[in-house]
Amino acid sequence: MVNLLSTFWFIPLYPLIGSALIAMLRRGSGWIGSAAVALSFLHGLSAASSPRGGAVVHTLYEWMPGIEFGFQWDELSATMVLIISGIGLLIHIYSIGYMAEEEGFWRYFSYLNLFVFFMLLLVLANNLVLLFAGWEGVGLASYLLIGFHHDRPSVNRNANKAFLYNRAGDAGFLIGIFILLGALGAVDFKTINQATVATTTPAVMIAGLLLALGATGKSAQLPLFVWLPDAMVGPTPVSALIHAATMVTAGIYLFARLAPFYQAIPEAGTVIAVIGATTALIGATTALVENDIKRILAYSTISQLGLMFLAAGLGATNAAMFHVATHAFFKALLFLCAGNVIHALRGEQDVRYMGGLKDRMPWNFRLMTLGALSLAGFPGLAGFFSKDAILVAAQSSPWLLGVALVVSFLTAAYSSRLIWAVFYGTYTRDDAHEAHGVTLHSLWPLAIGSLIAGYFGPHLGNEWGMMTVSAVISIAGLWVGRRLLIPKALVTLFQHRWFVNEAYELVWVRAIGKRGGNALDWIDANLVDLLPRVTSALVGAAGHVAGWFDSYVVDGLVNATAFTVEAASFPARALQTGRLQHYALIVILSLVSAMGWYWLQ
Amino acid sequence: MTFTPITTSHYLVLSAALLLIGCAGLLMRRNVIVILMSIELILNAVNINLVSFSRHWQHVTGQVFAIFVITVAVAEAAVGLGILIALFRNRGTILADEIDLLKW
Repeated sequence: MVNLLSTFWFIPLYPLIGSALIAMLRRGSGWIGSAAVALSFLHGLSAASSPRGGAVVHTLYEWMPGIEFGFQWDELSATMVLIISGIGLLIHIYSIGYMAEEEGFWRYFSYLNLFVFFMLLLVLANNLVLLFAGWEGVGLASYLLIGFHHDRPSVNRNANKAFLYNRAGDAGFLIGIFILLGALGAVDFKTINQATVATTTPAVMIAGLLLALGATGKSAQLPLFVWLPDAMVGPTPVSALIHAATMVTAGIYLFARLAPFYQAIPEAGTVIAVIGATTALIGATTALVENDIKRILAYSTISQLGLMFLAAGLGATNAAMFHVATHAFFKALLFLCAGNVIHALRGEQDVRYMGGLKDRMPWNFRLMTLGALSLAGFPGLAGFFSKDAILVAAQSSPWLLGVALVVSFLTAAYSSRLIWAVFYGTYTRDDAHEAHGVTLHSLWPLAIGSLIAGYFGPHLGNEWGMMTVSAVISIAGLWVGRRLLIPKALVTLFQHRWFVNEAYELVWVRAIGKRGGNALDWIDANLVDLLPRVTSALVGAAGHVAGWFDSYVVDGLVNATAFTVEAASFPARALQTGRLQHYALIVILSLVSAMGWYWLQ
Repeated sequence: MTFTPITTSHYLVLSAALLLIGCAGLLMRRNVIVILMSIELILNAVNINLVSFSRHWQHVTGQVFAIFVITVAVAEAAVGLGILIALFRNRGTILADEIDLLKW
C-alpha cells in the first residue's frame, strides 16, 4: 500500500499531466481534465485522513541557495487542497456540459487543469518563493481563461486589465519577499512565522504590508479590486472556480499561512482589516445596484473577501478560512446556477430582462435560492455560521463590527434582490428551459455543502447574542431586498462603484498618464532634443566645411591630375582617328623609316 | 635577238613593284573590298619573293612558306569578307573613311 500521506507532493502533478495530455490529445479533454482533478481530490482526501503528527514537509531539492523546492502538508493546506480539488472537480464536470458547444473545448480544459496545478502548488508550497511561483501561475491561468473568447476585443482588454492589476500587486509581493529575505535571511514559512514583536523591524513591517498589497491584487481588495468585475467576461465556470472559490482566496490563505507573522506586526493587521471593511462596504453597495447577473456575484465576492480580510486582519484567520470554505460552496453554486440561467436565456446577463423563471427552471431556482440564502446568512445554513464567526472576531472594534453588520444586511438585501429579479415577476421570454445533465447534477454536492458545511467549522461557544443579531439582520435584509428603495444619488454613487474605477482612470490615465505624457513630451521636445539639435547643427556646419573641402580641394586635385593627363595626351590622342587607313599609313611609314634607318647605318 | 636570262633580280623587282602597288592601294582606295584586294597583292609580292629565293638557293623551304601564305591568305579573305558583309548590313556602307567609330 502506497503511503498517500508521504507522497502528498504528487497532488499538484495530476492536473499538470492532465493539462499537457489534453493539449496533446485534444479529444476527450473534459473527462481527462475531470479525472486528473479527481485523482488530486482522492489523493488529498486520503492524505488528509491519514494519521499524522504536526506538519509534514517534503523537500524535493534545493531550488536556489537557501530556498528549497519544498512542500508542506498541514491542516491549512489540506483544507485548501480539498476545496480546490473538490470544487474544481465539480466545476470541471459542470464545464463538460456548459462548454460543449464552444470552440476550443480542449484549450479550455487544458487551461483549467493548468490553473488547478498552479493553485495546488500555491497552497502546498512551504516557502514564499514557491508560493509566488504558484501565485504567478494562477494569475497566468486566470488571464488565459478570462481571455478565452479572445476574438472579442473587449475580452482581451479585460483580460489584460486583470493581468495588469494583478501584476501591480505582485510587484509589491515580490519586493516584500526580497525585504524578508534580507531581514530574516530565509523565506520559508517556519522562519518567517518565528518573528516576534521584539524581533520585528520597520523593514519587516513594510514587507508585511507589501505582501498584503500582493494579496489585495490577487483577492480583489481596495486599491486593486476593479479588475474582478471585468474578469466576468470569462466563461461562467471560470468565474465560479477562479474568481469566486479559489484564486481570489489566495490572499486570505496567505494571511492564514503567515498568521503568527502578522500577529507580530499588529499595525499591518489593522491596515488589512480596514481595507477589508472598506472593500466589503463598496462591494456590497455596488452589488445592490448592479444589473449584470455575473457582476452582481462578482461584487458580492469582493464584498465577502473584504469580510475575510477584516477577520484575517484582526487575527481571526480561522474564521476567515472558515468563510473561505463555505463561501467556496455557495458562491460556486450561485455562479453555476447563474451560468445555467444565462444559457437558458441564450446569453442574456441583464437581470432587468429576466424574471419569472421560477416555473421554467424549478430545480435551478431551488438551488440558486439555497445558495443565495446561504450567502445572505440565513440561520442554519453554511454562510450563517462562517459570517457569524467573522462578526464575533470583529467584536473587538465597534467601527469594524458596525461595518460588518451593515455589510451583512446589504448582502442579504442584494441576494434577495437577485433571486426576486431572476425568478419572480413576469416571464417575458418563451425559450427558457431547465438545465439538464451534468450542468444540473454537478450542483448537488455544492448545494449539500452550502447547506451543512457550517456545522464542520471551528466551534463558536456561546455566542447566542451575536447569532441572534446576525439572524435578525439577515432576515431583515432579505425582506428589504424584495422591494428595494434606495435614494437616487446613492444609486448613482453605487452604480459607479463609488467612482473608484473613474478615480483610477482620472488619476492614473488622465492626470498622470496624459498630463505626464504631455509633460514628458515637452521635456523630450525642448530639453532632451536640445542636445541632438545642437549636435546636429554642429555636425551640419562641419559637414558643409568638409563638403566644400571635398568638392574643391580633394576633387580639385583629382580633376587637376585628370586635366594634366588629358592635356599631355592630346598629341597622342590625335593619332587615334578611328580610320583604318591612317593606321595602315603609320604602320607602313614606321616600317619604311625603320628600314631606312637600318639602311643608313 | 638575244634574250637576257631571267635572273632572281627580275623577280625581286616584280615583287617590289607589286608590293608598292599593294601599299598604294591599301592607303589610297576607300572601298574596303579593294583594300582587301590590295592586301592580296602585297601577300603575292611576298610569295614571289619567297619562291624566287627558293629557286635561287635551291632550297625548298621558301616554296613551303609560300603555300602556307596562300592558305592563310584564303582564310583571311574568307574572314575579311564575312566581317565586311556584317559591316554593310549594320552600317550600310563599305567605305573605309566612313567607318571611324573606334576612337577615343
